[in-house]
Amino acid sequence: MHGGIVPCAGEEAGMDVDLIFKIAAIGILVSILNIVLSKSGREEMAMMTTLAGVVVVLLMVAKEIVNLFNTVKTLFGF
Amino acid sequence: MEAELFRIAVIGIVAAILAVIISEKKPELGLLLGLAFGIVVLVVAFSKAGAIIEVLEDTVSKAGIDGNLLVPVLKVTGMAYVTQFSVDACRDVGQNSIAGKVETVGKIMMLAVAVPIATSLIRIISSLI
Repeated sequence: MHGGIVPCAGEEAGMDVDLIFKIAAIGILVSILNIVLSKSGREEMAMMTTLAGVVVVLLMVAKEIVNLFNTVKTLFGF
Repeated sequence: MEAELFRIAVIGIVAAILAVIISEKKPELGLLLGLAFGIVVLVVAFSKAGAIIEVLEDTVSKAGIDGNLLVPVLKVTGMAYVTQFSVDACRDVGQNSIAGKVETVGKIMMLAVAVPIATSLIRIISSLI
């Protein structure tokens, strides 16, 4: 039973760590793009890049929030 | 369970450092990273909590208590978690007034769910008298 539980749990945590790293990578990428675009004088594009990055991450997080709330719903019998 | 805890502890440290790095340039993405970490950890924790609730239901049914009485208790617990999560997220972003409103709504809704328990208690007391 112990052996049955642990790999499943590890799988889950592994999937979830990807989300955090993905968001961190998007954040670093967006800030680098922002710096490059700002230095080359394209403030508009820099702002658009920032906006796009925030929206993409917000969508990912919103999907996971729905997932979390559904877990709570099923767990506590709503 | 303990392996899970160690893993989450390490993920927490890594997420905190990444959030600090990102927050330097893009504070809003740093906040979203914190939010994502909270979701990840809570999903892992809640996927383990099902066993506890099963034991609770089993104990209640063995003790001969009406199973319907446990439902509002569990519901209020879940609502409290959801409210707390939302309030914490709002506080992190610095919107204290929105957090306060969500908290108030959560309190009212929890009270509304808990009212049937109170009325059943009153009914029991009045039947004893």
